[in-house]
Amino acid sequence: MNRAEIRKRILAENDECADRLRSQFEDVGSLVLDLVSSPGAGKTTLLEETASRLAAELDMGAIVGDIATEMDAERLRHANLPAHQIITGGACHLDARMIEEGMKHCAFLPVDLLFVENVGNLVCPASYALGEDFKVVLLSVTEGEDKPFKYPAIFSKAKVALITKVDLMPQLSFDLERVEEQIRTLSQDVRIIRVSAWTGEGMEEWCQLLRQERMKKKLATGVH
Amino acid sequence: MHELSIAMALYEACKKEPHRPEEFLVEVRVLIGEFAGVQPDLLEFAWKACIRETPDEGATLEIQYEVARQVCDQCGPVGERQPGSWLRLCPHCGCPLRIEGGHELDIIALCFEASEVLARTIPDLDASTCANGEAVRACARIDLRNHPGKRNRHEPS
Repeated sequence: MNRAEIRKRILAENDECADRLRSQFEDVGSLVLDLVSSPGAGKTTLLEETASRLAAELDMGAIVGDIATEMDAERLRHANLPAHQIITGGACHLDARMIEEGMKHCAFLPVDLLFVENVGNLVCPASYALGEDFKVVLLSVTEGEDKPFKYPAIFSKAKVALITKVDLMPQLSFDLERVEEQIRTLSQDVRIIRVSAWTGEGMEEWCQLLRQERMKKKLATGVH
Repeated sequence: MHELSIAMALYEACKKEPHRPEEFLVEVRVLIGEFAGVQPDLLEFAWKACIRETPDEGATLEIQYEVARQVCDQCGPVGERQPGSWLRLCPHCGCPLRIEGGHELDIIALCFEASEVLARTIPDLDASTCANGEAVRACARIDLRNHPGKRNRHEPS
C-alpha cells in the first residue's frame, strides 16, 4: 500500500500552461484580460465600442471562445479589432491549452492589449487560468439582481465588474445598489463601472482603466 | 457543469504522481472549495466514467467540501456560515469582511496498491528495471480485461 498526503491543484496542468502564456505575454508587454459573463451580457458589443475608442492609441486583438460559429470574431474584425475565433465544439469554457493553440493562428500578435472573450458562462470559466492579468466580469441589468451571490466564484475573482446596458434602467426595476453591494461583499477591492456601449455612458472610465493598466504592465515588464 | 473536464484532469494528475508500474490507484481524496463550481455528486459520477475500463477502475473518490471563510481584519474569522449566505460587514465592529479560501480544487491524498496477481503474471515489473511504465500499464489493462475478477478488490466496499 502506497499512501501519500499531497497538495496539488487538480488543474495543475492548465495552471502550468497558463504560466507559460503569462511569461510569453510579459516578454512582449501585452496586457491580457479575460472577459467573462453569461451569454448575451454584451461582451462583443463592449469590445466593438472599446476598439473604436482606443484604436488610435493601442494595438489590440481578441481571442474569442464560442461553442459554435465564427460570428463574434467576424463582428470584431468588422469593428477593426483583429480577432481569432476558438470554436470549443461544446466545451463550456476556454482553457489555457486552447489559448496556446489558438495563438498559433493569431498573426496579429503581439499587441498592447489582448482581450480573451470567454464562452458565455458565469460558472466554469472562473476555474481556469488563461495567463491573463485579470478577469473582468460583465453583468447586464436585464439579468436579475442576485447574480453575484448566485455565481460567487467569478465575482470574487474578477478585478473589474462591468454593469452593462445601463441605458435600459428606465425600463427595469433593477436595483443597482443592491447588485453593487453584493459584488463588494464578495470582493473588497473590485472596481465596478456602470457602462452602456449604446449611449457611451461609463465607456470613458473603462477605457481610462485600460490605458492605466496597460501603462502599468509596460512599466512592470520594461517593454515599450 | 464542467465536472467531466475536472474529473479527466484529476485522473491525469493522479497518474502522474510517483508510483510503481504494478501499482493501481485505489483511492484519491480531493478538496473542493465552495467557489470551485464543482458539484460533488456530478464529480463522482464523472470520475467513475473516467476510470471505467482502466486498470484503476473502482478507485474511490473522497470529496472534502470546503466552505469559504469570512474574516474581519479587526476581530478575526466570523463564525460558521451557510454556503450562499454572506455578511457584508463584521457583526461585532462593522468593518467590511474579507473572504478567504473557497477556490480550492486540490488533490490532498492518494493511495496506490500493488496488484500481486499482476506482479506474478508479468515479471520484471520492478520500477528500476522497467523503462516504460505506460507499456506495463497497457499490459496490466489487457491482463485485467482477461481476468475481470481481479477488478473486484478495487471496488468500494
